[in-house]
Amino acid sequence: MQKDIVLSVKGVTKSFGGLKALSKINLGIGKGEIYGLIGPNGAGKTTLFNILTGIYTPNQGTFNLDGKDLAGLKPHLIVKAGLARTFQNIRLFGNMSGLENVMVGFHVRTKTGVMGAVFRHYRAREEETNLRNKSKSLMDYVGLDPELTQPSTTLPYGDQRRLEIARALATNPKVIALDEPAAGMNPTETAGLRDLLVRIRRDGITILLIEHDVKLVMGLCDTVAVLDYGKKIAEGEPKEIKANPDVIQAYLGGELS
Amino acid sequence: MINKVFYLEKFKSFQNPKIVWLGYSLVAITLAILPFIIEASIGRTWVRILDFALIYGMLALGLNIVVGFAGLLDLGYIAFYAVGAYTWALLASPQFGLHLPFWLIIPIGFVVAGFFGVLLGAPTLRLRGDYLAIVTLGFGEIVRIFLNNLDHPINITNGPVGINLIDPISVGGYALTRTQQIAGVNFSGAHIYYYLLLVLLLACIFVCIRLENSRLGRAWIAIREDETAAQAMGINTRNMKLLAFAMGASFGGVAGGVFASFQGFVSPESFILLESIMVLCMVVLGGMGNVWGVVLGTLLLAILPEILRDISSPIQESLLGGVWIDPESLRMVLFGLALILVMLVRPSGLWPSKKH
Amino acid sequence: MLGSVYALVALGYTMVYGILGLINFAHGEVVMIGAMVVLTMIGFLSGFPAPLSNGAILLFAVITAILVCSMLAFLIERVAYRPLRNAPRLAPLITAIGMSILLQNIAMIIWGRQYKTFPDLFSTVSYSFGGANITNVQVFIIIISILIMSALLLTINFTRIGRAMRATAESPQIASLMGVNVNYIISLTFVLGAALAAVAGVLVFANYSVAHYSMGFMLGLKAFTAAVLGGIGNMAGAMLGGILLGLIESIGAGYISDFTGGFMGSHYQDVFAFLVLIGVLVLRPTGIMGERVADRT
Repeated sequence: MQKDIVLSVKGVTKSFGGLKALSKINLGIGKGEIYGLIGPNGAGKTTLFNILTGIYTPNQGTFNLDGKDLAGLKPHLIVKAGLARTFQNIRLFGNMSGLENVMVGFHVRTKTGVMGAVFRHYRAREEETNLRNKSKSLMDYVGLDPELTQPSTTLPYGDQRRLEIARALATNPKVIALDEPAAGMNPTETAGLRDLLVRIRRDGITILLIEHDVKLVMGLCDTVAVLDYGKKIAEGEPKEIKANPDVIQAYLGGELS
Repeated sequence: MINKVFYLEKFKSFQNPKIVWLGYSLVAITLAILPFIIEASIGRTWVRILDFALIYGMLALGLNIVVGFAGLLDLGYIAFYAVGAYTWALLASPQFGLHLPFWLIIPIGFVVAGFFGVLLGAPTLRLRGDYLAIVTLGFGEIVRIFLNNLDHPINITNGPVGINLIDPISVGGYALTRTQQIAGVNFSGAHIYYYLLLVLLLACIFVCIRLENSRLGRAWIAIREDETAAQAMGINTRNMKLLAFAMGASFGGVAGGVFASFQGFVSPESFILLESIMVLCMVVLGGMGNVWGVVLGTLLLAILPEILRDISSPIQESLLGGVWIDPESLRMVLFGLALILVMLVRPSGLWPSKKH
Repeated sequence: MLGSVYALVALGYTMVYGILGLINFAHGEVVMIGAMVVLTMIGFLSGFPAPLSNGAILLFAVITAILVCSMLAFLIERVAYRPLRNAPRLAPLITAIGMSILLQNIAMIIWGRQYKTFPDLFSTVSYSFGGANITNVQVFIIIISILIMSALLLTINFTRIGRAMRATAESPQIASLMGVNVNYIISLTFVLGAALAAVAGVLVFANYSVAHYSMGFMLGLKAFTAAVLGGIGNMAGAMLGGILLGLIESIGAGYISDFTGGFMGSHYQDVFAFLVLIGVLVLRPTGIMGERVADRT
């Protein structure tokens, strides 16, 4: 199958001290797909994630987004290039309202400086109004009330997760990487999340999804890769993965049914 | 729901332009005649105290950008005040025989202090929390020690003695520290500086509020709330922190310059660590991050010790029948107690930035 | 020499910081109070009808100082820090500053503004080792410091209480779930730190022969710097940092003029110390022996 690759990972290796957390990982994430990354605890999913988002530098290997090499860049430059993320343990800007959180996401796509901020000349005003409106519609898009003024950490849990997604979308990414977005959600919230992810894909944004909820991944993703002990043991369509003996071995036949 | 509508209605009356303008003009008139009321009721020294409170206000607002917005604990902030004051002193005093006009020195002080801000910021970017605090503290001490000792081998700062006979701000040949008669009313130096400082402080408040509600302010607050998440949102944390240091330092630099010109002399003694700590107390006590809270904290902490100075002897006489305890010590004891009590009662400051 | 005193005081800072994440600005004042109490007690005991030997006088005075400082620190924690344990991070910093101002001025009211001199309890003897001079007082200081620090390290590492303290430093919540009485441990930490501070106060006083109500602030600041230098929260780091800072200062005072071709004199010894601190922290942002903080995900 010929895919149009948007994010390609080549031979990424990372070790901490003597421990090899990832060895020679290759992934090809196709444009407009939902790409699932699963694996047992400690398989290296989060490490890979932290490399892709610039928190760690890989020891070897590289990755590129639309042909632009991103390995070793600072996190903010990776976001600028079009790869945004959410966090497994939600990291909102706690004392800001939901809307302000989303507005921070627009930082990288706006450019008002000190002069603009102080004197609010025409261009700065226009930019501010513009990003406020866009932020509101993003809140709507993920199903949150833009008028909520309470500090974001007091929002219900599922709303916080969705707010994180809205904030990441505000950076106008080509690929959005979600770190266990369904963790701790009840079935209703998970179903809502699922709809949201489908909508994001429909709107042309590629999704890289790390998830423990194998059922969600298998039902939603176009392609799934499985990590175990820092190695990729399988990559393919969900139904191939389900039948893969290595994968079943890794999960001890437990959750994959 | 009903409540919400009710509040909206109530809010609308505040939005009525006539009422708003009436409010503004009342405040403006009060501020304009305040020095006269004070002089008439409690004496001219209090106008000077008020002037110093306004200078502290500029300092506290500058520090608030660093500590309150960006969340970087700076314990050496007074160094920038010192840099501003000495810049003014060197460029407008007999020390080097330079007498540049104020409209040239203010921007120079602004830039030089901002430069020092970046100088301090650059090596400390990787430090977090209290490590940053101690390095900034060290920086403040380094600046003070240099000021204290740069009288040899080449005499630059005149050492511990300080620099004297600094030019006041003068407009069209009129020195603003002298008493001037305008339209039949006598304005003393303290009065004129009051208006000047008031305008500067209002400008600082304006800049701070504008910054806070902008892309930059949001980025700073994002860094304060969660630095890693801020990076993941594409914020260049290094540049934003440097900008916070530079902006804060520039405020301090301008305040220092005006202080030097008002006071007429500067010496390293004005820039000790305790001053940095005082300014920090103003910021935190008033309500970190909230511009109006910071102004409130400043007024309180700049004026409270002076009130305590005036009342610590009389109180003793009435309670104990004589001055038993050194009034200066008693004043500081009460001041320390006040700091503790306020923080115990209102841990987020008197007027916090947002409900927690 | 000076380094060992810094180390003693730095331990107090680091223990409190390790558990509460708080810069206890009032700690330097506790050192000062320790020195002052010793002074008062020596004066009081010397006038005792039944003559006591000088050693006994000093011993009693030091024990009193330790008791007073411990009680003081216990009170400080109760009044100024405990109510703010869940408050914003800078709130206890301000109460700490308030406490420092308060203690300094109370001390000034009680003991006055004058510099106090250390009573002549024993004569100073100077020894010479290959050009370096050292007095019997200094030898005594070093021995006492080493003894105390060893005792403390043994306590922390090998006793039940020490284990509870380390657990609380890791995570107060989990420690309390494991049955550790966290409040008790925190009080104990303050008391231990204050005891060390009292001893340090006496040692400084004995060495310089002068005490002043304002002596604590700068000493505390230096000690805190030492704690940060070593890696705050780390006991061995505090000791190392203290000794290093002492060395840096004396080297700075002695040789800084040579380094800079006579441009900077010994006035710049503090500059030198702070520059070293900044240099160390830029290279190792968590201090020499500090753990890397792994909060990045």
